[in-house]
Amino acid sequence: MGLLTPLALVALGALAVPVWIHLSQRDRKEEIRFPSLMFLERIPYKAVRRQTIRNWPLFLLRSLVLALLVAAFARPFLGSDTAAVSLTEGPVDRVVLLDRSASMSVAGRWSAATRMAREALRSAPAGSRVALAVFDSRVSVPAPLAGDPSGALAVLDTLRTSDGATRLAPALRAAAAVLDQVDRPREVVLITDLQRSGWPEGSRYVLPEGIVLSLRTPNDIDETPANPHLSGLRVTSRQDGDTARVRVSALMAGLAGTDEEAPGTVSVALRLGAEEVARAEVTLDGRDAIPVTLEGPLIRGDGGTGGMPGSLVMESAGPAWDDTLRFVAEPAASVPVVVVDDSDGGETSLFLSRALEVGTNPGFPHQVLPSSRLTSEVLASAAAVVLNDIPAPGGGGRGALEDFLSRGGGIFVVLGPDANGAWPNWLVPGTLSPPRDLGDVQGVPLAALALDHPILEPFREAGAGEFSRARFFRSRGLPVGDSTLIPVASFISGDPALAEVQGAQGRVVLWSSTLDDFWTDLPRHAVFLPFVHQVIQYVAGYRPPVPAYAVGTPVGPVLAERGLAGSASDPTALGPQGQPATIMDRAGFYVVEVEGARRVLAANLDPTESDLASLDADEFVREVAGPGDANRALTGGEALTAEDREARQAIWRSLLVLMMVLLIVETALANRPRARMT
Amino acid sequence: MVRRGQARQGATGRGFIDPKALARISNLELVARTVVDGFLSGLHRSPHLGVSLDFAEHRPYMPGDDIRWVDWKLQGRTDRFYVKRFEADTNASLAVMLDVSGSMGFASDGLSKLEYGKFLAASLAYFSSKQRDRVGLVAFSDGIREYVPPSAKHLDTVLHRIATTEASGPGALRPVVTKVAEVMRRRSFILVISDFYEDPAEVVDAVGLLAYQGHEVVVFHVMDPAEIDFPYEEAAPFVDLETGEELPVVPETLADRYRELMGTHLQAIESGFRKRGVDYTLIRTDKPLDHALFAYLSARQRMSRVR
Repeated sequence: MGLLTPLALVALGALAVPVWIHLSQRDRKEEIRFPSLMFLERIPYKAVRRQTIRNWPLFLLRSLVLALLVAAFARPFLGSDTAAVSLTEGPVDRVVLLDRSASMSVAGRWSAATRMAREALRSAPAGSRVALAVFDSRVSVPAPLAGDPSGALAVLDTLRTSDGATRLAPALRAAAAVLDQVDRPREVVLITDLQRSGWPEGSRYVLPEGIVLSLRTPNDIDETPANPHLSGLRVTSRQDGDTARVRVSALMAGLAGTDEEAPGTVSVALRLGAEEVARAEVTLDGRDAIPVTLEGPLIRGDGGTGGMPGSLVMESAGPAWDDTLRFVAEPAASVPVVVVDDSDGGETSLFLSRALEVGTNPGFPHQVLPSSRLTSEVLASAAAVVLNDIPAPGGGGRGALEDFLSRGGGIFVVLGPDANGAWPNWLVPGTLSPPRDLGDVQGVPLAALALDHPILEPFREAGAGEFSRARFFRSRGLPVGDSTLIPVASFISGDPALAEVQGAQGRVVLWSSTLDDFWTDLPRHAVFLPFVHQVIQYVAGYRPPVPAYAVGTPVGPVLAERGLAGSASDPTALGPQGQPATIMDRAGFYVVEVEGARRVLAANLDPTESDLASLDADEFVREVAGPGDANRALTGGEALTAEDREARQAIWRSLLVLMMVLLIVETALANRPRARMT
Repeated sequence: MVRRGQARQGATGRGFIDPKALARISNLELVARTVVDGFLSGLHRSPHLGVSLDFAEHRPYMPGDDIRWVDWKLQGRTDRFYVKRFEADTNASLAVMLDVSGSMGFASDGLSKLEYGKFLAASLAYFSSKQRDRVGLVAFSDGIREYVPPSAKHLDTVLHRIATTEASGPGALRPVVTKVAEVMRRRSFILVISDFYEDPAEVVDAVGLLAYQGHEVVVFHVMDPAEIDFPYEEAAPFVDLETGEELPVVPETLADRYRELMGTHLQAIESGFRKRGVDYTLIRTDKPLDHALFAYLSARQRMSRVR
């Protein structure tokens, strides 16, 4: 038997009503006018009166009436609980799918979950086959289908919770794959805390037909426990005179469930290396999330590990598993830039220079020089070159640029009014058209922006609209339809304004206007600064340091992305406990040696795992069962007619009838005559 | 078959003194007359004595004695001079102090304590007036509400004031007694009719002040049977008739304790009065008035023997 609306049981609190009636209301009869209360007042009547129920039958009757009313509204029904469906007859193939994500380490969840798993493995009917699968963001099947559950039980004893995040869809998919024998009843017993973050929109899964889901939750999923935690890590470095400093920011989140009566303070400490360098006492003021920022000195290199490991630790009373954010702080990076400008005094590069000067993280140290001084030596230390409206370079300059590009350098070519001459194909493919007016005197805006391109991607969330305010009056027409040109931004005519040249060893980006206010007013708009920074970072191949990765990230791709892959195709790191690891599957620091240099990587829990809010069990089961097939998941495979469902829920009628009968009895009992006075 | 008690009542005239029967008579003077006349007719067969200007004894004549009191007949028989001695002058003052505070309005079964007190006061006033005593009235609650000084001509006024007074307000004996003691200098009979809902020591001290001044004090403690027996069963809010205060009461849990407290209270008052030489009579309103009349007569007789 189950309840369709168990929340109605809250109304059982109404049982206090008959108590109140018996202890106080019955006293409110016709008053008795008495000469003096001087004796009655001396008697400690209250304690006696309130502790005494004088008419137990009447009291019990009234309580029973209310309990029946509440029970009727709770809609009891006969049959299986929606959250605990199980096939009980005949042999079955059963996969016990156990959630081992980090959130399962909260207050007794894991022990309850393993107990449930043990029970599910043992309770399979004779002739059944059982398997044990465990999951967080990854799934493994340590005990495949077998007729004897002892193997799975033995594995179960060795399992521990992980630092991974809950992902229900891949787990269910893997469990369904285990149950490949379709000619016998199949069941997935899912044991999980049913975190809402583990079932994201767009990444859901419907069990194949014939597989019954039985859901067990080791926690009260209607209640979300308070879990103060740290998230939103941000690490920046800066140079303060001769000292490098690191600033670490994070968000103390999940504070809403903490005791608002006694807010108190929470201590947050910043550790760099093995030393605590800063500490802050944060006063809880009722907000759900409070930002915290701490700063400390950064020792460059830290013994050759390529970065300084550190951590931000919150000392809260809640679960501690997500109270620490680890990171690796890198020194402030810089992208050296050479600006080639043939104008008098470099006036064409005025706006560009100012934009580069304000860059801090990374910084853009740059020099402006004429094309006559463009040599390989000058470019040796540069990460990016800007050819700012100069004629096509020739001679030594062209060679230096070609050499620079072949070494992986990046070139930003600004094709303004002076960019005449024959440009090499590897720099400007196709034929460059002469300057031409765009629209009338009002100019034209940029009409098409490829916001998925790395240059413009940061403008996707906010700021892309800023580009439409800028007006362009003249441009050089870049060749349209050239397969080696990838348009990044275009005018309303369809001509590219910003394009990337494909095929080059390094990166070449073309701009068909100017970077001063001669052909466009873009430099006078706020978006100019980030635009220039983005273009330079892109052509320089700059990647901002990643202070920490989420648990579950493989080591190899991380190193490859940072250009540290070395010769090993599948590099192995030493994990937090010194164990070799190709995947950062535990929160902590991982040390990897690449070509003789030690690199440190930090791994933190997936921030979504800290959100302990649960899904609605019924809704989840229905979703897993798929549209129009809810009964299969709810009842274990047999479809119910509407009449059947109604019949199973008809108990409420009987309860109401019984309540009416009791009410009649109560009326008779309450109104029976009583001797008043002798 | 006539029951024994009923026959006895009829024989002694007590049927007329039954409070419930009296309550049906609206004229208070008629009530008093009914009570007193019925009572006195019953006394013909009673061993109790009435009072009058009766001869007491002879004593030898002493120089200075008024020769009008010489018993000449005795001198004729004995040839000696004897002087007649008589009972004391019975032309005394009677002041009825009637408590008319709110608590006196309580009635559990038809007749309130005040109504009973009124009958009692009227009857005794009428009775005393027939004895040619001066009668007066002090109706009080926490102060004097009505005051009629004792006078041989004030019976009608006294009866009228008794009839028209109503129970209300809180009661306090001491300020009233203090004032009465100030205005009543002449040695008098003072009848105090009250339910005495005050601290027993306070009550006894206050009334004792009158006795200390030489007054002959007779106390009638009028109580309703429900006040003493506390027969309530069902829980109900109890409202104080004097203060209006309300108290939820579950009688079955505290009735015994109430009776115990009430018993202690009554006992304390009675013993206090006894020690002070004050005549005290507890009267239940369901009992006939003759109890009170007998008590009064006893006290009156003691005072009349004063020479």
